[in-house]
Amino acid sequence: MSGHAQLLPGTLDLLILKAVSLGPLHGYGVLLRIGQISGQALLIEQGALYPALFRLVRQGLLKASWGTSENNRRAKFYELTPLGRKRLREETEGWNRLATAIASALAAEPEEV
Amino acid sequence: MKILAYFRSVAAKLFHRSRIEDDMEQELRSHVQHRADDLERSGLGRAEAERRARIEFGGHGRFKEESYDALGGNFIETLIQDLRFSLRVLFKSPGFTMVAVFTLALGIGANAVVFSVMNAFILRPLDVPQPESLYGIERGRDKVGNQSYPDYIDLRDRNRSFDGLAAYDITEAGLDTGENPSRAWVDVVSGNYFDVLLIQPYLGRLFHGSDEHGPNSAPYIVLTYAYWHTRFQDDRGVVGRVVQLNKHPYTILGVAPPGFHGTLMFFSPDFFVPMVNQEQLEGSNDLNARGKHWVFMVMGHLKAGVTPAQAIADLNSIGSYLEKTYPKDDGQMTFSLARPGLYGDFLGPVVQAFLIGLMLLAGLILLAACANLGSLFSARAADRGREVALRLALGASRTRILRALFTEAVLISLV
Repeated sequence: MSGHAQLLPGTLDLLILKAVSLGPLHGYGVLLRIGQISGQALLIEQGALYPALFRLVRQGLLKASWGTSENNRRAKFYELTPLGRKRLREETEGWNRLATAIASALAAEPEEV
Repeated sequence: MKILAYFRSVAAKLFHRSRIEDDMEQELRSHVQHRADDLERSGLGRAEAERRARIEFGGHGRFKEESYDALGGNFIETLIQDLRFSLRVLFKSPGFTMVAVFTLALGIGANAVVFSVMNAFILRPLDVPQPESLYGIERGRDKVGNQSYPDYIDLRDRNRSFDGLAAYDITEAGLDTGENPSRAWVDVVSGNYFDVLLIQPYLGRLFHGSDEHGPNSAPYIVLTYAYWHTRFQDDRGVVGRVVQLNKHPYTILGVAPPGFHGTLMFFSPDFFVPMVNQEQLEGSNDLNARGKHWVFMVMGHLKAGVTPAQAIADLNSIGSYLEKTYPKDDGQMTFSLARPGLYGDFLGPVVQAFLIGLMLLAGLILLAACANLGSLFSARAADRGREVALRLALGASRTRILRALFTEAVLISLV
């Protein structure tokens, strides 16, 4: 467990959007992609992915269609809608601001105060 | 775009439920298969790989349900569920339902009746054109509305504040139309009455000030719409007909418009007759008796730009002239203005106080009904403790249960 980071609430949606932005993916593929781009550092319960996917489709950020996977199996593929692309940009900026702010806050030394 | 996606999702969910569940099931199964493929590649047997993949996936049923909720539209779906359940529960205890509905119906009914009366008498103005500038004249410290006919004539002709002043009195008379003679309520009115009130005829014509030429010179009748309807069955040929009123021949000139029934809210006369014919109607001629205050009320529209205070000053100057000129007949001649609909300040405040009291009472009845209903519901809640405990144990959330109970209560109140 020590090598894994806990996912903050709300960050799963952002990760999914990012993963899908790199190319259409089915659910399991999303999971693999997140693992890959995070250097296997983020642990996501497999089943928890699906409520998030359906929520994003409902919000019009993703669209889904059935297709055939690289394993020659039927799978549902997700891709970003224009709205999803916009949301990803906004959330990425927001996250970077937050991360920078927290990092600089945590890096503060006694003599700087 | 976003809203469109939402509605598509909700609509699909409501109308193609089984297809959506099927779809979801397939997608989750596909995920497990893909994972199993990967595990198989790492050297596991197929059966073991699939078993492992299923374990890794986690609670299949739970995620499926969460995914389903994520589709949205839960509000409508839950509402339909709750409504169906509430209906079943209410039909199962018809006694409770009937008592609850009956209690509410009584409370609400009483309020509706009282409010409609109050609406007619207090909240709505009199049903005549431009009611806001129509004022009745009251006399003396007691604010009585009645005047003598000569005083009315003096007020009418000497004032500079009103567009015109009309007078009326109420009496009963015997009407004989050739068949079925009967008593009728009559508004005995000054000739200019309809002109002052800006009333237009519904049928035929109305009488005017120019129709009056001294005592008993104007044997005319104008019917109210309601009386024309009930007594003459909407017969348009009634105009010009001669009928016997107190055994004197009178000509029916026309019919007043629907909704106009004089200027007293709680009284509806059958027809209108000119005041100069008082002797034939009331049995005595008081047109010249300055000391007899038999005219029920005098009223008129203020001229544009004249304030009530200016009008009162104007009337009082006429009053002091009358006091000096006829000290024997006219006592204190100071005047004030009031709304004519409830007979001015003489009856108005009393009626208003009574109606407001009644409204309060009806409000209390509704309150009592609600309190009764509340205790009824709480008694029932105590009975249903077991049911609720069972549901909580089965995993229903508190909000979900409260929502179901609330739906039930709202359903009762809607019935």
